[in-house]
Amino acid sequence: MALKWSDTEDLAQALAQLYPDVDLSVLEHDELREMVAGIEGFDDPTEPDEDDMEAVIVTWIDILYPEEDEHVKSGDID
Amino acid sequence: MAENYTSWKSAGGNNADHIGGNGYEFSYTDENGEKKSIQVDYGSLFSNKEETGYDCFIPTMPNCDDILITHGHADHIGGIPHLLNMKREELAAKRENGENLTIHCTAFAEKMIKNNLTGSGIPKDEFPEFDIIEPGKPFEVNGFKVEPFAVSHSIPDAVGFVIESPDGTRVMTTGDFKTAEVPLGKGWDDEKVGAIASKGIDYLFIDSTSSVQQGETIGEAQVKDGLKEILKNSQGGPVISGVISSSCHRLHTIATALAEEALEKAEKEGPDAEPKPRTMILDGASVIAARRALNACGYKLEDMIKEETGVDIQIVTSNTKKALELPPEERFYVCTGTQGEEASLLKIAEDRNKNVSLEEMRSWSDGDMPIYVYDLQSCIPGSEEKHQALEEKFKEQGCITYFPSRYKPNKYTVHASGHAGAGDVARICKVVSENSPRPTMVVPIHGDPGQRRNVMKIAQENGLNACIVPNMAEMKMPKDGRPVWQDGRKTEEWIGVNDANNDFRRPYFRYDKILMNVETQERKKIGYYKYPSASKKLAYDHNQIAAAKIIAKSHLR
Ligand SMILES: [Zn+2]
Repeated sequence: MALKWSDTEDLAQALAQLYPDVDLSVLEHDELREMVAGIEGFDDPTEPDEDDMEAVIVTWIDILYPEEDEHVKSGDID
Repeated sequence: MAENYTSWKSAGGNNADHIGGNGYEFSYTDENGEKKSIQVDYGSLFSNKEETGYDCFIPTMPNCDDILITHGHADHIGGIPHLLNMKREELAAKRENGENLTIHCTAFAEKMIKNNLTGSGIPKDEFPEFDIIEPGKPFEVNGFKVEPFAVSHSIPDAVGFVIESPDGTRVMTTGDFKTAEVPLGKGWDDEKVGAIASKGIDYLFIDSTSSVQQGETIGEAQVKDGLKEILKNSQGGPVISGVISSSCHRLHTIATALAEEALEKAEKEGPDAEPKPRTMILDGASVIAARRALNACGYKLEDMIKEETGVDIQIVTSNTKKALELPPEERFYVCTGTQGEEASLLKIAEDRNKNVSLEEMRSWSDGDMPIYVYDLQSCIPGSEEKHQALEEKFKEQGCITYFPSRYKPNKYTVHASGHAGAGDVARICKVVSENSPRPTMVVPIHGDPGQRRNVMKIAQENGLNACIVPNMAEMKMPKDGRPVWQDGRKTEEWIGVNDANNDFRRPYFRYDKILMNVETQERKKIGYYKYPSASKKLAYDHNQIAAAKIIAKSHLR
């Protein structure tokens, strides 16, 4: 089965392996689209929307930087 | 025929001794007894899982499909993914009919909520509707007229609301706020709040969290000065700093401090010297996601700093070639994990951070390069052991450390709270009292009993009425300014959120109905919420992060 834009985690995992040194704090959606189009097995003619693309990037960030939620109580800090 | 009235209720019992898990319901009941509600915030309450068995607690589910969000902090938005899980079937049916849960929030809060939803495994087709709001632009929802106004807080685009009920009762709720200037976006403005108050405020709900602190809470300008001191005292080696990623203004403050310090240094060196600021290197998922959200909302830090100081600042993530090619003394790391959690700082201290290595930094010199580690956040109660262990680990690695104390005066000012001190509370009371043509009743919320009493006192000193509403009580708010409420309850109802996988990368949430006694803190499970999993099967192999999971779990224990 071909990979689609809705396969958020699969795409993020593939991208993390293909592009380990990309600056995800500034990656543009156009660049992401090109990168995804180059993933082997990706075939999705539908146009992704912002949410599709951000979900892939946020998941990709989580894969590169796995971390626990901050131990923060409101008022103590924020 | 019954009487019509406007009412307010704290959904999770936020009026008790704990702060967090915000959820407030504003309702209007008409003559026929028909009730319409809107909810303000739906957040999570921090929990120490080792003690309680729960990752967090969230308030009981809202009785309406419209949630107004004051800002993007977890204790105001953290319940939303869980709500979508628990209401999966109901919302799927609603979407078939073209309806959906609607979140009314500013653009920055929207980014934070969507990141939270993605991180919690909510598929995009189950996202709620987002209605992007702006301060000063009124809107109508479910029969209530709502006008958001900008407030200052530690996250950009925080708002309070004035909510006008169908019977004309006007209620102002501040959300988390302070009045100091903020570097990003709109913040508190006496004139704007005065203008909105001049249309009449019957009830004023005030954030009480820091109300026992004297004066007004400091702003980011003072933090910038503290950071510049740090930079002056950290020559010849890299700086590793820990930040709370949700304090997003801090990224701007750090960048400004780097620029100004470089500028001052260049001025001392002579007229031809160019300012050479250190490069900001981001390490940690939440801080990288925060910068994405800032960019998406037009807060482009490099452009802002260039305009404000004339200096070019570079910001990169730690996995880039650029970061690794920089001489260590030109690096300023901005890391997550200030409390010693399983995040960037701990991984650096334990030599298992893929992108930031003390050994790599030392390899640039004969091994005598100083490495400075600054936790820009003091320890929060409950994290003492982990916080101290983190500093010890860096010391063992030969680093020069600065971990500020929560209880003693510190050498550098490195943090500003986002909450109103006594001076800020007095300021809002004064603005409302001077402008509202109607008598105003202040209701202190979001604080322990002492903090709320202090807000009551300040309100009265400023010529306003004030009342303390008992825990969990629903308050009827007649327009004559004489509110009535039932007796308070010692028992609060919450939803206990337990990630049964105990794995922040692959959570599987269980939701228990919990009764919590506010006096004894005793918890009793009285049931649970069953829910079907998300439609989308998440299918990739996790071998790559399995090791990280095991490490994470061992640290959680
Ligand atoms: Zn907050």
